[in-house]
Amino acid sequence: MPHLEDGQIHALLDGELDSAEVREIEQHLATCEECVRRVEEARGLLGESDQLITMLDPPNQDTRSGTGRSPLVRRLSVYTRLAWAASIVLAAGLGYYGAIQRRTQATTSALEDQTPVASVPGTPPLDRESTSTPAAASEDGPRRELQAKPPKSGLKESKPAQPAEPALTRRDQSANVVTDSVSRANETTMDAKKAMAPPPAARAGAVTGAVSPAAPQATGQAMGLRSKLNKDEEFQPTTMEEAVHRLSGTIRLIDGLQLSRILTNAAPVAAEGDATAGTMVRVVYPDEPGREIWLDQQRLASTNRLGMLPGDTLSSQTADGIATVRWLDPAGFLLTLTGHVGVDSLKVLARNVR
Amino acid sequence: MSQRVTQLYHEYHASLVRMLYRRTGDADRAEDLAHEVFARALAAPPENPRPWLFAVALNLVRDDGRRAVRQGRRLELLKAEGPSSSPAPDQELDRVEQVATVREALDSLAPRDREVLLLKAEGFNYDEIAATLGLAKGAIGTTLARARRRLVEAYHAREKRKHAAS
Repeated sequence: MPHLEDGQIHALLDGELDSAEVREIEQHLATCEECVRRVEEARGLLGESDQLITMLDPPNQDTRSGTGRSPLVRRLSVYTRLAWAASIVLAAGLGYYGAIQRRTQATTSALEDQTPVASVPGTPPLDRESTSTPAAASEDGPRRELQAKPPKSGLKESKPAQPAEPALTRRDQSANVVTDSVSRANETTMDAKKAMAPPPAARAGAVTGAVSPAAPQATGQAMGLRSKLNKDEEFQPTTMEEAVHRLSGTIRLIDGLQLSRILTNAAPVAAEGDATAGTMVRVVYPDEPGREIWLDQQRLASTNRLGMLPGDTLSSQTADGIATVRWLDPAGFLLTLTGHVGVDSLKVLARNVR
Repeated sequence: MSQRVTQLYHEYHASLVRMLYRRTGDADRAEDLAHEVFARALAAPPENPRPWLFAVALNLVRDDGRRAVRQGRRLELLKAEGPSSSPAPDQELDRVEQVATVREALDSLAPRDREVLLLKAEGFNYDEIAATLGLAKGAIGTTLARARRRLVEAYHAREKRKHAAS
């Protein structure tokens, strides 16, 4: 097979190729480092251009739509201490970032266990990452999960590390942290294809409006997740319109996925440091029965004290399979995806947060 | 008929306004253009509404842009962004400048590249983009690849110039 064309690569990343085409490309990528590099480069371009486009959204406009098939992008104009505390406890409680070294002074004392990785402003999110233990467990599992059930966007319970395909395994083993990201491009690309391409029904029905507070309640593992994170009780169910209205700003959603409910913190509290008072929003997506994916979002008035720069990504996975990916986008959104899935699966989902 | 258009309005209005705002940077203009689109839909309900609505919207933007140029109207990009409720003035200024840079970069693209990007950002798949813009589906991937690269390059070039000048 000749080298991939740019159009092919972008169609692959956009989930526009059929399974036979994907397989063919996957086979090629397993043996062509040049194309792997180009896929990775295209991923960066795709992510950065998407972010640039979303930066054009009204900064403080409440359109209150909640309708349409397209990704909703509503900016949160405010940020709360409670929101911070939720993030902090969430991270600290799970030990997400305990092993990561701090780069700058933490915003609060509870953040002292978190450590943003070295960053380069201007690079797209998820291009650079820091994965806390057990990193290996997060790499191969998601791929398998996503392949097993692509329309579900890979939102399944994490499994112990499993061997990847031989070519990919060799590639991963020989790579350092930076090139590992490149060498996983075909893996992640396949993930993107399989995880992010929603079924027709999901595309057609994605984000069709307000979400009833009476949406199905999570049970089982989801309750376990909730219990472990111990923060859901600080949130109250709300509708899309109410969340947008309450925030007087915007909300970010996972493109192509149907959310199950939206939560928001009960009451804004005074700001911490240079963050402004406001609201934190949690968008909950259904996963396997009894499981959920959470997209927490906050907008920072200033990221100076956060210790992260746009493009930074923190990711981790606990031994019991709860993974989290946190990143800061150029618009100043601090976004956190959490769920019973592999880190790679979350990163694939993060690519489609609009 | 009007009920169907009402349904279309509920389904697509927000997305249409967002796309138009991203394109024009003017909230009022985006709303006006969106209303014009639905007024036309009311007059002649489309069979394939989504591509039709967005195609009409993009045509209106082009026509409106040409008219604006003829009239010597200058779009006030920064003004359209509006004040934010909370960030400090210097932070807000930085943000507004950054948004203006992004908009300049987007405006520097060829119309087709720009429109492909805007439609993709609204969640259109390749089939829908092709139907909206009258392109072959096979050309969408290539067009998107080019448009994404040019947008990012144009943005960074402007950022670099800005920093060099400051």
